[in-house]
Formats: sequence, structure tokens, C-alpha cells
Amino acid sequence: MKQLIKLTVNGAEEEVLVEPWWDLAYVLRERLGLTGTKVGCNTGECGACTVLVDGKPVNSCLFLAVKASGKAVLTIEGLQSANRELHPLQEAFIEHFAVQCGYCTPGMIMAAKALLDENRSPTEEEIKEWLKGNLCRCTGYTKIVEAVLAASTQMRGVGK
Amino acid sequence: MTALSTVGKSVPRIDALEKVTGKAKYTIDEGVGLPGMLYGKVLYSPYPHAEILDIDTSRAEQLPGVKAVMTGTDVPNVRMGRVVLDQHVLARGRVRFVGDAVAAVAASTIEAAEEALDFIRVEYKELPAVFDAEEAMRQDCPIVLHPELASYKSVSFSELRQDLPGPNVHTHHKIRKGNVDDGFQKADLIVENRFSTCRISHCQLELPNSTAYLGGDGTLTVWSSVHLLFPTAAQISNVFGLPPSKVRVRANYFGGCFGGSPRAYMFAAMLALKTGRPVKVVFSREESFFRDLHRLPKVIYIKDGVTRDGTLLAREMRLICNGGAYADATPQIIRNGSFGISQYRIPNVKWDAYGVYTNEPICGGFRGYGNSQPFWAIEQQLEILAEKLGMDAVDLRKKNIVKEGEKNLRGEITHSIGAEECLDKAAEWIGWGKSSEAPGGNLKIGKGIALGNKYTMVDTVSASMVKVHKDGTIEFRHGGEESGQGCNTVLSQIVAEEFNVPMHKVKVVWGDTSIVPYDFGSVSSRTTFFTGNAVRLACQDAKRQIFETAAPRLGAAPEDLATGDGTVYVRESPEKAMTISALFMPEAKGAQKGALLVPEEGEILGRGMFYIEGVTDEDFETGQGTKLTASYGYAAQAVEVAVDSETGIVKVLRWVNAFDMGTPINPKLCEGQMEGGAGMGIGSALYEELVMDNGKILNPGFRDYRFPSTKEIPSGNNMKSMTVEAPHREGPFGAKGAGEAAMTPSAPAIANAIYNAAGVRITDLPITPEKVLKALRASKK
Repeated sequence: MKQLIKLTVNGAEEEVLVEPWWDLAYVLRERLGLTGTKVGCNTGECGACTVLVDGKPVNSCLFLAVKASGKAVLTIEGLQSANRELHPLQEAFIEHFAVQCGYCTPGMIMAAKALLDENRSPTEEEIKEWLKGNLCRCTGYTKIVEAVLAASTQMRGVGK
Repeated sequence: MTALSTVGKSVPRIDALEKVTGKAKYTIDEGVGLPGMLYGKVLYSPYPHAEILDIDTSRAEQLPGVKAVMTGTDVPNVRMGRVVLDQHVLARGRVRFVGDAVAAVAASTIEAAEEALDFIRVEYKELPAVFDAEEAMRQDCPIVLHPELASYKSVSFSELRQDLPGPNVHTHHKIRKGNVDDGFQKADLIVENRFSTCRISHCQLELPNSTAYLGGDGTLTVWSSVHLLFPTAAQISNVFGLPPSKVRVRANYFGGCFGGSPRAYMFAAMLALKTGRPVKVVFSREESFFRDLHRLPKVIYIKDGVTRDGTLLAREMRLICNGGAYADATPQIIRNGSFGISQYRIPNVKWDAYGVYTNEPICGGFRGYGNSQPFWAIEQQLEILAEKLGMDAVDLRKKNIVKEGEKNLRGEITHSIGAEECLDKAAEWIGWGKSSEAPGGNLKIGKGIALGNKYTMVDTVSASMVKVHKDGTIEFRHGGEESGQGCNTVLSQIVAEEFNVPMHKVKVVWGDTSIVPYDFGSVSSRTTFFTGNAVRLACQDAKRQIFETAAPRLGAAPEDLATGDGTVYVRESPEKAMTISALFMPEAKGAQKGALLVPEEGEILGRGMFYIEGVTDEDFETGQGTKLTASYGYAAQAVEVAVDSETGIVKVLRWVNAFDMGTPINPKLCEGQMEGGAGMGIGSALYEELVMDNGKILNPGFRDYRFPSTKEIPSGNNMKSMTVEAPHREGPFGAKGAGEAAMTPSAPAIANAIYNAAGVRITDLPITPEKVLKALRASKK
């Protein structure tokens, strides 16, 4: 039996009629047209579908849509500021060539945002530990780690 | 030559902004949420080898939402293949591996399609199966997968189907040079070993997918997430009997490639043709493991003869390759996988490589295209020789590396080879010859090095088109595929350089066989080299038209003109200039008021086509030719590892890449290829293996098939990438390919480091802790 859920996605209130077994990634992509969130395994093993629910990173492919009812969801599409300025992580990923195919990028950036929200100055090792569940097959991660470090430096500078 | 303005600079990727904002469309995003879309699912054989006695689809067809159920007889009786035509889209009468497609369903929801699969009844009669390639290869092997092999057609390399030692062997590739017996006789030292590599999977993150639409005019449009758009269109056209003009293959960005080609598109195409409705097929991650075309596992016997001073005299290699149930690209991979060994000078060579059918999944191209496997053997073998001779392993390699202008062991004249410099740079960075700091305890530290290379194939064509817009934008169209390697950026740099315009004045159009000119595709590290040249020629053709149009207005000869910053000007007197936009403007004064200055069709359209002249056929009795490859890119990697003698766990501590990719068009993108290749190389060496049990993959998921995470790859100061520039005379601006050499030396470099650290040599991939422990225990006895 479908049910109506209300949730906030990237600041906008949404009402969606969902089957109880639909996952959040499916609803974001297929019902709300937010295809920036990617699915790489549907089993919570690759992290490509990472979005923030009430600020916490979740694998949206495993997170039931009904559980998101009443919650605030942030996806890659909502990361830019109101005046469309890029988030420092987005800037750093571009500048440091941390993107290749880009399929892991939205999940990687959302996971990294959750880290930087929690820890403003992570070490290289802390970044690697935090992102170990976000798989990337293209880059070897070197430039991703570089980009997250650069973004954290940038964000601390801005916050002074 | 004047200084370059864009080529050679690390300009940011042109697709980075859309990729970091989630706006970039991937092929899997095509048709998302489209009303009326049908979803396709496929039923696969659970048996490695069986006869299909009966299929009953009647109950499945009656389920609500099910629009079509197809079996083998619903598809034209046409066999497909890259080399040998041996495979039906849906099995007819017999299945040959766990994962052979048996039936397919299209339904209005994914759930309905999945449910329908449960209601298809297939009656099988199990047949004995063979999984070991050496067993399958025997003349008297009682299990024959393709009894009708002799009647199968070949579309290429039919010469490789001679001198086959058994009924399951479909490929035999030979190299004969000099006389190995003489060579071994003269050798001071002979070393023989057996090495083997395992099945690994590409694991591109985008789930393999395809969406097909049948248009009102009968054109079938197929969105496909795999590379090779034009060959894909040709395959669809051949199998379904559609005129080539009625097949349009499209793509958006790919979520990775690495040579992987699980072919969801055949299923989507077939179901769309059957139903007349749009059909989307997305493989599950599990499906993408067993429908992926795996890296070809090879058993490699190698015998080397060398003089006391380290001169290689003779090499004999015998490779048995388990290509699985259908040949697909295996014959070509076996043949092209022979090019790598040409980096060393060896006067006497005997090479026999066999492709064998077994009841395992199919194999295909994988970054390196058959070359990483021989390097696994030869780059360890050289270390073994060096130790026995009491020589330094880097010196031994350098002594035998072919030189510029020298004929290599296949008869090609060597050109553009930076291999020695690569080795030197890698050795220096890692501190070669200096012993590592010993932390004590169970940890043993050691260093290893290896040299690899990857050729670019010679016998293909790329074409490109350039359209000059009125606003001065230079649009170019190409038929390669952007799978993340950055070809759209690199090709745009070439256009920007040719027209001397900033990057934002270049526009790229790609990914649609109906609007881009032919290209063989982004394979074989060929896009920069081939497509890059085609794009450059198209630019030059467009510029010629601009010059001819502008010349009378500027009072100069066309050949004295140049373009820059949106203008065309006289090279020697740049003040004589006009904007490119002005070429399109109605003429205010002059003969024909209101007429365009550009030629009558009102367009400036440049065309370019690139192929290599003077390509010779290989003599398949000897493997000799004069122009068998377009170019070679070289890669040295050196590594420092820690081996835990208590657990057998190996950790990569420091890593260096030193690559010769000719003149790098975009150094940062080249770094990306080196680092990504190192990551994949580390995975292939230490972690990755499809574990097989009676033809079934036991670990078809990321939890059990472990490719490296952030934790397994060095970063920061522990990862270094450097380039050596040996420009290629035929490459655009001297560039060569970058993508594939990147992991050819990785696994042997790690194995050599483990030997250096702990004194044990692992010869079969991957290097698991169990193997290391076992070897450590054996070495103590």
C-alpha cells in the first residue's frame, strides 16, 4: 500500500507517494528527478549513493524512503549556496583533479561534507578512515584526499 | 615551433563542474522517470554446462505488467563475437557457463519483471563441465564446449585458428624469431618458471545499463554504458538484421570503463524491438560481475637464457588462457598481449599462446589488454635472473631495453622510448639500492621495481568534424567515449591550441553515432593519439576554409594567415585582422550586399580523418611485421612494502610512477591515469580475485570482491608520479596514450618488493596473506 511522505529535500518541501519498500535513492532519482545521487551496488557497499539525512551520511540505496519522512535530506544538487556559489569541497574537487568518471563524486563529496561538518581539521589519515566506505575505481584516491584536505584548510580560513 | 598555449597545460577538466554539482548525465540517467518505460530483466543459466530440454514461459507471460518474454528462438539465429562468431544473445539448446542468458522479460515495473523470471520454467540436462584451461586444452579432453567450432565464421584474425592442439582451443598465436635452442645452448644461465594470473573484474561503478527506443521511422536508438559506440551499432545491426542507418547508439558520461563491457544493450535492443516500447535494462552489481568480461587468466611457462653479463639470449614462453565459454575478444587479447615483451632485445624467441574454451564466464578487454599478465611473469623472471647473476635488477633491465631506431623482436622499428629514464626516475625516488629502515618485530620492509608498457593498436580509423560558429565558438565532434579518462578535455585542448582560442570557446559534441563521424572508440589507449590527430586535421581543414574566405578581405594569401582569439589575421602584420564572426556578417560594402562571406552553404565545416599509413599484416607463422602497433607508452613503478611475517599481510607504504606518455597534453590528467592505474594495480596484486567454484563466482559483490579503498593506497607524500617525455612523431603534439600502461608493471613490482622484504616469491595472483604465510613457512624449513 503506497503512503504519502513529507520530507525536505535540499530545502524544499516535498510530498511523495511511495511504496513501503522503496529506498530513498530510488525516490530521489525516479520520483524527484534528482539524478545527481548515483547508485553503484544497491547493497550499501560502494557509498556512491551517500546523501545527508538530518546532517548524517546514509547510503540512500538502503535507507527506506518512509524513514525519511519528516526529515531533511541534502543531496549533491543542494550543496551550492543560495547564490549558486560552489561549496569549498566542490571547488577543491575541480581544482585538484579529484574527479575522473565522476560517478562516485556526489557520494564522496557528501560523505566528505559530513566529515568536515564534524571535524574542521581532519588529518590525512582521518580523511582516509572516514572515506573508506566510498569506493572509487578511477583515481586511486590520491587526489580525492588532497582535495578534502584543501577544502578543510579553505573552510577554516573562511571561518576565521 | 612556437610555444604552445593550451597543450601541455593542466587546464581543469571541462566536465568537472557538472560532475561536482550532480548535473552531469550518465547513461544510466537516460529515461529515468519516463512514463511508459518498460524494464528488462534476464534469466541466466544456473549450470556451467547443460542442455536446454524445454522452456515454458506461459505462466510468466500471464503475469500482470509483463509485456514480453523472449527465449533463444525469438532472436535471429545469428552468432556474434568480436573475432570468432560463437555466441547467441540468448542460448539456443545449450548453456555453457553460469550466467549464460536463457530468457528475458520486459515488464512495466522492475518488480514485475523480476517476478516473471521466477515463473519461467527451464528444463535442463546437466552436462559434464571443464574449468581448468590446461585440462580443457588437451587433445583428448572428453568435454567439448563447441563441437561445431570448425564451422564458426571469424570476422578477424582467422589466422589464429591454425595449429590448434585440441577441440576446445580456439586461438593459437605464435612468435618465432631466431632459434631458441641455439640461444639456450649459448646461455650461461637458464631459468624456467611457471606463473599464473586470476580472473578479475573491472568494477566500474556505474551499473551496466542500456535504454532502447524504437522510433516511428524504424530507427532503433540504443543508449549504452559501454565504450565502442560504433562497433556496438554494427553488432546490433548484424544480429537483428537492421540496416546500419537504422541503428543509432548514444551515450552520456560513463561511470568508468577500464575496458569493461557487460553488454546490457543487446537485451534492451531485443526487448524494444519486440515490444515497440522503450526498454531500460540495468544490471545488478551481482549481474555485472558474472556478465562482465573478465581479465583473461593466463598460465604462463617461461624459460629464459642469459649470458654471464646479463644479456638476454633466448626466451621461450607458453601461455594457456582461460577465455571461458565464448571467445569474444580473447583471440585478439592473446595476440595483442604479446606486444609488451618487445621492450627487451631478445635475439631468439619462441612464443605460443593458446585461447581455450572452458565452462567459466567470458573474458574480454581489461586495462592493459592482455599485457599485464606476461609482465607478471617476465618482470619477476628478470629479478630472478639478476639475483642469480649477482647483478642489479635495474641494470639488467637497462642492458636489454631496445633503443630508439632498433628493430624490436617483432620486426618493428622502435620509436619514442623513454623506458630507461622511467626506470631511473622511479629507482631514484624509491631509493633503489638503499636498504629500507627496519622497524623490527614482525614487519619486514622491502623495495621492488618493474617496467611495463602498452602499445596503441595500429589498424583503426578516427574521424572528426569541426564547425565554426558565428560567435567564434569552435565546435568539434568526435566518436570517442568520455569514461572519465578526460578525453573531452584533452581533445578540446587540441582544438584550443589549433585555433589559438581559450578553452571556453571550444565546444565538444560526442556520444551519438548519428551525429559524430566514425571512430573505432576509446580503447587501446588510442583516443589522444588517433582521435586527437583526427580532431587536429579537422581543425586544419576548417582553418583552411577560414583563410581562403578571409584572404581577399585581408589582402593576403591564405597561407600567410593565422587565427587567434576569435580573429583571423596576417601572420607578419597582425594589425591586419578581422574577427571570425565577421566572416559570417552580411557585407556592408562590396559586390554582393547581404551575402555571407563564407562559402555558399553558409558554414565552415572542417573534416579530418586519421589512420596510420604503411600498416603491414603480421606474418602469423612468425609474429613478424614492420608496423604492427601505432606507438608504445612506457611505465616504471617502484614500491616499498611492509610484509607482516606473522599474518602474511602486505601493506604498500610508498609508491612511485614514472611514465613515458610522449608529450603530455594535460599533465594533471596524466597523473590521474598513473595514480588510478597504481590503485588498480595494487588491487590486482594483493586483493582482487573472482573466486570460482564449479564455474560459479562465489564473491560477486563489493563486500567479498575487494578492490582497494582509501586505506590500501598510499597518498600524499607517499605517492609520486613523474613523466618522461619521449615525443612520438605521429602523435598529436608528440603525445601517446596514457591509460593502459598504468598497471602493467604494478603486480610484479609488488611481488619483487615482497621478495626483497621477506625472501619469498609469489608466482600466482593475487598475493594473498595465506600464500605469503605458506611461502614464509616453506622458506623456514
